[in-house]
Amino acid sequence: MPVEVILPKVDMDMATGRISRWLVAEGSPVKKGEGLFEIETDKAAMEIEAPADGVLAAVTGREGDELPIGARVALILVEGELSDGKAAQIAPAGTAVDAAPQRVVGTVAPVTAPLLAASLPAAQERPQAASAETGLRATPLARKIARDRAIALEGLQGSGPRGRIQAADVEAALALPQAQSAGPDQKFTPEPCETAPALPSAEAIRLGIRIATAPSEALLEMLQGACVGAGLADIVLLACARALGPDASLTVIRETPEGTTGALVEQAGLAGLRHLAGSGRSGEAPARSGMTLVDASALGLADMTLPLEPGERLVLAVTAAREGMLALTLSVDPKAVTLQEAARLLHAVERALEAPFALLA
Amino acid sequence: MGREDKAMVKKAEAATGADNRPFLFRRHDAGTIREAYRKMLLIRAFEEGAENAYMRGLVHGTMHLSIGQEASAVGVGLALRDDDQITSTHRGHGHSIAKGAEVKRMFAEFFGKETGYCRGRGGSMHIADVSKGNLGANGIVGGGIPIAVGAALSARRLGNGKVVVCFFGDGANNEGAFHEALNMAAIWKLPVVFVCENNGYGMSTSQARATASATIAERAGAYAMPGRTIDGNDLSAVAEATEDAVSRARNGEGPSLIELKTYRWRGHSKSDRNRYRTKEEIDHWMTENDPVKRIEADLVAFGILDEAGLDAVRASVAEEIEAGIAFAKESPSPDPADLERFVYTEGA
Amino acid sequence: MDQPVRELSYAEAIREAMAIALERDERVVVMGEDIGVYGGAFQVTGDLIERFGPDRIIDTPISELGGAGIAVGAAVTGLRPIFEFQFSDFATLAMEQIVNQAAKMRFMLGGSVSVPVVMRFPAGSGTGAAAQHSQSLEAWFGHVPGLKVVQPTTPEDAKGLLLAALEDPDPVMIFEHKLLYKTRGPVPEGAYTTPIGKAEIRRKGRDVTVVATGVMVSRALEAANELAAEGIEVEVIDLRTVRPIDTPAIVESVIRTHRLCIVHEAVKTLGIGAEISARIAESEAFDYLDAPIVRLGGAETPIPYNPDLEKAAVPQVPGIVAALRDLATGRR
Repeated sequence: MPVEVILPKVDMDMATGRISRWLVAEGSPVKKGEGLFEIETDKAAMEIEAPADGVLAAVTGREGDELPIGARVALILVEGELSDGKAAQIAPAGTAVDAAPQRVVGTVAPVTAPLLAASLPAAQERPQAASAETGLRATPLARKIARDRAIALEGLQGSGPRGRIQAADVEAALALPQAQSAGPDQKFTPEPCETAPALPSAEAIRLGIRIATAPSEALLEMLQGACVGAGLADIVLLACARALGPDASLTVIRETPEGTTGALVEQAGLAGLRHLAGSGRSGEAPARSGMTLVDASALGLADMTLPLEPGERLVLAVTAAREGMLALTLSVDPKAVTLQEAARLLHAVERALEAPFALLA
Repeated sequence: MGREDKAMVKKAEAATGADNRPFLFRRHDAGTIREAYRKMLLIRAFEEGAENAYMRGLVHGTMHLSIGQEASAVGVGLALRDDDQITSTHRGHGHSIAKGAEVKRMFAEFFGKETGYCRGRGGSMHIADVSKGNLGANGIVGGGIPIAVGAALSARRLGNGKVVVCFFGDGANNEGAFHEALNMAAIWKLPVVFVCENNGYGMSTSQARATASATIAERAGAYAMPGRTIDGNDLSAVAEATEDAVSRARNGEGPSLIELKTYRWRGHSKSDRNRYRTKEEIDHWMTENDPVKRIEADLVAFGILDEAGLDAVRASVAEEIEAGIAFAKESPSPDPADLERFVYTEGA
Repeated sequence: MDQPVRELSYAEAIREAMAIALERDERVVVMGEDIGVYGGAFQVTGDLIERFGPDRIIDTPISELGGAGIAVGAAVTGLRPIFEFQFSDFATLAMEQIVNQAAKMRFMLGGSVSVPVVMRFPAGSGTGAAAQHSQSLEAWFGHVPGLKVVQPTTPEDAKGLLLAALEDPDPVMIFEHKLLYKTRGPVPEGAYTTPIGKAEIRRKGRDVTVVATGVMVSRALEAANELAAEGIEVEVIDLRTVRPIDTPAIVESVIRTHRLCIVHEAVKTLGIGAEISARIAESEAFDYLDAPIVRLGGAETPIPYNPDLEKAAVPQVPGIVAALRDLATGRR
């Protein structure tokens, strides 16, 4: 039987090799152990010995070919034995290796390079600018609380080294409405103050904000899933409730072409979107006091300012989004709510509308 | 003993009736001798098969072949009981087979298969079969020497009568572990036999360039144990020297050192370029001092096997190798999900 | 009737554990340098040679590599050796047998053997023994899959962890701080085990978690006492096991306290503190961190001889107090 001569693996990490030189001519007799050919790997050249006595035949491994290890490169025939013809049919072992891959070098490279170079600076500038704007230090816990309670870290004063915002800073911000109001014991509650007269309009502070908003299909779908007829106003309601803290109760008034409905939502800060979006959509509207959100989005107005009712500390009027802008107007009793607190509340709502899914998560 | 001498011995025996045959033939029955010969052939065929598989890319990594050293593994094995223990080396395929390992599971290990002796986790350098008393090959030169002494300490403490054979190469005799372990084995008179397979080279460095003493056996003197230098390609001489040392160990007389002079036909490992040995030197050992040819001549000379008998053994070995390779090829690879198995004892 | 629990020194507790093991299990032997009539460099083996004889309390020559390897070989073949290094620093001479053999043998052999060897390493600084007799190398061993590494800090745990190590089928490295040998504490009578791989909360606290190892546990407790007077409640976790690390215990604590400090004597760089910091950063506790994690560890120097320098090279109570105070009050 003919003995196969293969390109042997001679190195641990060798996958292919190259026959640099045949030492025996085809048809010549060889002795087992005699040098047959030399191979090159990336490390060294090596002489490969004949595996048997006989005549070298059917040499298919040509000098210079890159061959996979184990590839048959020739046969050794015992004298008298003929090559059975199979050898002739063996495809040149090199083809599998040196085929297509070398042709991969394409013409695109020179074209893409300048394109890339041109686009790179622009692509880099944007994130850099963005990170500079939001370059904010906060501990993971502060970030988590802020995330959980939908309060923005931007604008908070960090008490840690280099202004790092710590959990205590976020908690202080969450407690702010009561902390900085009349006194430590005075809660920011909707307790009706029957005796307090309605504030003359001139004495209330009114603040407005216009927020660019383009609710995505997904968001609108989610809102509809929460409650038929729910809209952006309910995101405002959720953000507002979260910003006011877990214990705050909120009166929700819905103004529609058909009339006025409403409800008092206890512990609104703990309520989820589904609960809030369904609130105040039926039933007689309660008397406004404490804190109120008036959803007038169904009336199609661009803007609306409401005076405070007796005993009411703040009222937020939400109108319809028009041309991608949503107008909010907040009226507050300056004796109960500072201008700064009122501004923070509006900004919290603004941020919630900018990233509504973070609020809903 | 040359061939002519043996023929003369046989003639002299016939004349006098005295048994002047070599130790192997006096000590063992024909079946045992035939089995020893078969193991030598099996070792060589296994390594040739492994080498062939390696060249075809079926074996990952490298391997260290002991072709040309078969008499030492098998001769030592002849002196051991089944429950005696060995520690082996990176050039340990022969030791495994001599101690009763199955070639199919060895091939499976080489191919990295789950059915291998080490479930494909160890490869050529870590083949072990603890159930047969083989505590394992070792990738660290000299790494197994203290372990063998520890096993001998166990044997003495547990009183189980086991003897431990510690295989190592001439390279290892310059490791600190060799000296520390021999010293402790001697001061505690432990049942261990140190077998140095001296094939002349620690990788490329010859014994003359690496070892200050002329023989390795004479290092035994420093540890107050007997040391002998033996022709490691003479199966009978190896078996005889080992049997002496093993009985000494088993009788509580302490350790011995045996230096077996032999030669590896192949390079140190598969990446050896063989730049430190001459072709003439290699040819000399292959043609003039092949341990397989030497035992074959003796088998015929002493009437254990005739040419047809030798052929039959060769055929049965070739069959076993072929079946072993097929088994290994067909065996499953380990599941990568099991990567972290066997780092610690499960359930512990 | 409840007996008052008697007190033993850390060294006596270890000796008692070895005596229990030698008494009940014929396979147990103790090996090491000068552990026989000398009683061990730190008098841990003490009088064991008188009770169990030289066949089981085996004095080795000064041959750490060979000795450790013999212990490994004996463990594989049926004994339960306890190998004492005279100083943990000398493990450098035996790394081959510990790292290449003991740790990997089971894996390399596809699970066909276990290596139930126990090695004891007197470690740490504070004794004036200078650079080659004072190191804390436990993290080296903790980096090797196949080994288990424990650091008992109380006499009770020193006994319980040694008995646990002897019951464990895998190699267990026990790092014993030399300054602890003479410390005393309650030790239960008889045989019991302390689980390997479980940390222990030594003091509960709400403001900051400190994970300490070895002699640093007592220093952390001392620091916690000082800070309690200032109203800062420190939770002190005794890591006890370096490998496998009890991550859940630390995560749970950090989620409660929001602040973490790790204190060990070993050099800080690439140390256990780095590992624990990374595990917390990777865990659910990350979101509960209200300050950067603080590591206190050995200086980036060998251990010096001069007593003031030696003290300065490893964390001491005032430094721990200052770090924890800053951490708990949001100043770090």
